[in-house]
Amino acid sequence: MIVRMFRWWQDLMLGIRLAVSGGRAGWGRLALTAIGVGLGVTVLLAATSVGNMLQARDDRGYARSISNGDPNQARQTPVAGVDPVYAAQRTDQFAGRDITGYIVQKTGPNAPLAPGVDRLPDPGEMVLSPALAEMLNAPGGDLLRPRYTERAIGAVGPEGLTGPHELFFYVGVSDVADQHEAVRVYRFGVPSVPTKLTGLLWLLIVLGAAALLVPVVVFVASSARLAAAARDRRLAALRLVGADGDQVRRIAAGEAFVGALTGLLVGVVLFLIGRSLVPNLTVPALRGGIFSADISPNWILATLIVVAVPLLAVAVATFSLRRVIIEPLGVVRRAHNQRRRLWWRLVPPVLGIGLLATQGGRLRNELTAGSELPVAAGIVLLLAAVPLVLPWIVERVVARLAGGSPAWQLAIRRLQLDSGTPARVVGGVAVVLTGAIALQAMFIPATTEYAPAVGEPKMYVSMPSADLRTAFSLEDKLRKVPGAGQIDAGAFAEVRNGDGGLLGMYIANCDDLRRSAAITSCSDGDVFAVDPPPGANPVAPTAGQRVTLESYAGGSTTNVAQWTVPAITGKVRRQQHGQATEGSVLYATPAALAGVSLPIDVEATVQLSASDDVVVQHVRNALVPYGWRATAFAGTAIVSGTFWLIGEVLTIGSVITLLLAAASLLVVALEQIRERRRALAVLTANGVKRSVLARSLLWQSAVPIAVAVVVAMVIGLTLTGLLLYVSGQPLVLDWPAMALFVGTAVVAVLASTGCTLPSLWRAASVEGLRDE
Amino acid sequence: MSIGLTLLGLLETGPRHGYDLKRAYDEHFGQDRPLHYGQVYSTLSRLLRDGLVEVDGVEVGEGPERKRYAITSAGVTDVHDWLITPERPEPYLHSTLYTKVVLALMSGRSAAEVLDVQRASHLETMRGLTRRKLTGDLADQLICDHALFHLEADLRWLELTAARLDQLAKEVRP
Amino acid sequence: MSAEIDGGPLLEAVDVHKAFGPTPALDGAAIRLWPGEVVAVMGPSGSGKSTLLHCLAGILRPDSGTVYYRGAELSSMSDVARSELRRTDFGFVFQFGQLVPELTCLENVALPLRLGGQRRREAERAATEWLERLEVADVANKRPGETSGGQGQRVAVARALVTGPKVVFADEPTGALDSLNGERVMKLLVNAAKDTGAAVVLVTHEARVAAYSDREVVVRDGRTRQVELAQ
Ligand SMILES: Nc1ncnc2c1ncn2[C@@H]1O[C@H](COP(=O)(O)OP(=O)(O)OP(=O)(O)O)[C@@H](O)[C@H]1O
Ligand SMILES: [Mg+2]
Repeated sequence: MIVRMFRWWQDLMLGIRLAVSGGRAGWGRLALTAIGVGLGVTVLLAATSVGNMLQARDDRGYARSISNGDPNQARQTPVAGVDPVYAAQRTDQFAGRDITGYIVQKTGPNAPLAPGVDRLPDPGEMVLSPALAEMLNAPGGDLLRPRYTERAIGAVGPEGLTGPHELFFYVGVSDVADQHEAVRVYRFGVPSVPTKLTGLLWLLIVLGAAALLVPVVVFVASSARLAAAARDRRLAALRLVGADGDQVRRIAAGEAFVGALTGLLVGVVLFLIGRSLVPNLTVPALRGGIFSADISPNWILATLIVVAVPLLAVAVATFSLRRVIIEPLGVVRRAHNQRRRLWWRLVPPVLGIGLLATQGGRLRNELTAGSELPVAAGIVLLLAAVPLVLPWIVERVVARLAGGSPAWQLAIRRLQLDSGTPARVVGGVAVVLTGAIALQAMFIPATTEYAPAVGEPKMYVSMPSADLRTAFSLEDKLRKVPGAGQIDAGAFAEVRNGDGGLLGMYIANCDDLRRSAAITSCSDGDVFAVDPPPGANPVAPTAGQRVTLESYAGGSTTNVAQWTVPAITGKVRRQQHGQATEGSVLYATPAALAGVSLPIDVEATVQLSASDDVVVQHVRNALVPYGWRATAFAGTAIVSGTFWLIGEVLTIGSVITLLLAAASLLVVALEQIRERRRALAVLTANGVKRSVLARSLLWQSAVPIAVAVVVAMVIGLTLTGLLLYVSGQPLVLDWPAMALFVGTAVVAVLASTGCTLPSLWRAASVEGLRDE
Repeated sequence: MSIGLTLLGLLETGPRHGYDLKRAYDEHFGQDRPLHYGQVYSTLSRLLRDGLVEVDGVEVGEGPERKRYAITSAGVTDVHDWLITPERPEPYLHSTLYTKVVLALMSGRSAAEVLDVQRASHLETMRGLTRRKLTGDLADQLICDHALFHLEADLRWLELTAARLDQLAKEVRP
Repeated sequence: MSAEIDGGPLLEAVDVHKAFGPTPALDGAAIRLWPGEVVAVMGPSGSGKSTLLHCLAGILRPDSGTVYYRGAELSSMSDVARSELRRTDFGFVFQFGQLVPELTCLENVALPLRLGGQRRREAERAATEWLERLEVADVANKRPGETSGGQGQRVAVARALVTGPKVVFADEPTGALDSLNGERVMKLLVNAAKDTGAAVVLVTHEARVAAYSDREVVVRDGRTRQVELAQ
């Protein structure tokens, strides 16, 4: 037993020895393997960190939150000894970025503290996040500066921000209490609420994760198989001197283990480097950026990676040994290899299709219990099928090709002899492509559902105001904004009849009223009665009647005033499109309520000539005189937050995967040139022109990638069809997008092949003739 | 090399006139040294005397009368023995070996056999030389090497000939 | 007609057939190898010499026919058993390419011993002795890629003999060498084989190389032919 263990150990050590020796070529090979595996490990580690990262961001987001949006919990229960702070959230936008923050009004010395803030600002003071402060001081901040004129008394610390570049503020304002959505805050922070996913969003997440991570695994696997031919030769030589099948397997395992371990190390180092560099990233997709500290891998998953990557490498290495085991003569003869067998390669796709086909419509809306696992497994199986089926198809296709120019002939013959390596090279790209095709098809229904397109660009401004005149001065201010289009402004009040019934009244200038009803003559001070819709029976109050007016301003406050209904100028018919005024039985112009002191919310819609950020900024700046009372919100796309997040994470992920794919391609292509050094040198020595070699090299990539594109399309569309079937969505395909993906993949492969040309020239010099 | 055995070998493919025999001989083996008529007739009469050939018939025409000779069974035996007996390995055997190979082919025998037998014999001699070389002094080595290289040249020629059997067979037996 | 273990042939092939796809490489080949003898296998190119050698060594499995080693049928042995046989009883010398390029010459020679479970120290001591014996001790720490063809071949011979094999299979061992180096390799190979009592199957097309043998077997069109001289 001991002896046996010892011999096993010896075999493994021999493999390790083989991996690290071999002079420059050996080191080069090891380095390439390590880089290939390392890049994969980096991405995998990053992927395991996503959960923690989102969690940490969410946690800090909730920790500074004052309301979780649930109206029942909008009022905080008082805490003894704490002087509450009135706070309201305000959002702003500048240069395409969101700026968020709170306006606060302290009520005493024992105010609660917001995370990351040493002292909440008093009126006239503000606390800004470093990124916002920087933005204000930057040369481009001219249009932003008028809105933040308070004195900065400090900066929001990292514990109060979701990311290092987040634009966040606390501004002290004296009258928060009666502003929109003001909350009496005894304590910042609310318990977090888990996000509920719909079936479609869940599918997007799972598909996205699979589409991004399966290629990574494929790349790791193919990195573990770098220099397969040289290794086969080496192991066959061992076989010849009497290593039996198991021994050779152990030796190969030892060899692969070294590469995987080095790769793991490289991966961890790259991950740490990346982690420390991430805070410097300011790409818009990352919004507030990411703190290094937030990137901590899920340790269970990370441990799994540390264990699984070497295992995968070893498994791939020993599994791909079949030929050497059967044919120890590899050294002596490089005879034609056996044809690949199809059946086991078909197991994953058939299984995957089967699994998905049983789940029709089960993820239509909510998640159906028991469907997650089969669907996720089906997706992974179908994606994993791509690199499995591809070598077989490439082999069959290539076997049928012949003839042509010398470059073509060289390429085809080479592919016929060994189509495995090139097929593996493009395999990873094909998986990415397959995933991309399926993903974009899933995004089509998701986008219509969670991010509907908006019509013409508009801004909505709303402001509580103590009296009608001030309210309508807002409209005048807005009209003076250069570039602003049509402006609709109006306010609602409710009229309580003598019998206690409530009737709606819409207050607006004549111009605005004309757009809501067929009014021919109108001057300020007029009041119109609106024809009730047929069937409805609210009766408008008559002239001279004394009624109570109720209005809504500053969120929770209902204001009351007495009013005597003046003479009714006329009866009008409400126009169909005047939806804002629906339910109103009276239209009044501001002067008609001149004597009434009624706090009221005025709402204005500003048509923008185009989605021009400068106009938006001017509109926002026009509100400054109202001291944070007016809120404005630019009506761009209204996107579901979860959907937006998924989209962003997938965008970032796919960029990383694409980069990884390109790097992998390069690594494998370089390795292939190293491996064929001698053959290339012989060809040049025989006078084959460089251009012919280059073209032959391109053909060697072009043929497999062409096959890969077809395979990716077929499997990708199959997956799409099945997933749409699972989620009960109609099949809509975006052909231009697919063409773009395909084009990108093809260009990536050809470009990476092109990048290897310099090393081809070096390899093909007569130096390469000496066999190592 | 024996002219008698060569002529016998040629006759094995069928009866011929003396003149024909000379022509066949010259064509296949006499590149640099054609046979004289006299040599042909004196050899034929020796073979007649030894009972290895017989006169098959006489053609009477315009010129001198022409005898046709045919090989006897004793003659065939002689040719066969000769063909399958390896030549003593010695330098410059090639003309004899060539003659043997061609005759073997012409008579439908296995030329490969001739070659194999000859190779065996050569190798036997070469083994002796190699042994001597391995144990001998430098002079011995040099002498043995010289002989070995010459013998090897013979054998290589033989191998080449074997490799060209097909080609040869076509030329010799149209 | 299986062979008995003692007094019988060491290695015997009976009516061996082997085809690669449509190409018949061996078509009824037979050969007997007696202990300690050196047999040259000769024949034209493509006649099946190498294939015969591989069948004899248990690297290739014949389509039909049997190969006996010391009376046991090679083709019915397990892969492990045949591997072990290659490690302990057989040695190989080919034209080139049999050395593992990543290992130094010394490690290459020690390799069969270490695969057999010997400790590195002992294995390398034995290997060093053989390298000295074959006059290539100076390349012990070089990689095969850094040696000349003749040196590499002698390293290969050392590796073939290090386990004290019963049979050494040599396929064109001097094929890539000049006369002088070829002679040296042959002399060392044959002498070492004689010293250790190993039999040698020597595939060659060079008569001078074949002259190191005790007898020759000719392969033609996949069939073997033994030539018995009358005298
Ligand atoms: N792995 C193989 N695949 C296909 N055909 C093969 C294979 N190995 C050998 N052959 C064929 O078998 C026949 C015999 O080959 P073999 O290598 O045994 O010849 P050989 O006598 O060693 O030739 P040489 O002297 O040139 O080395 C040849 O026709 C060869 O083409
Ligand atoms: Mg051969």
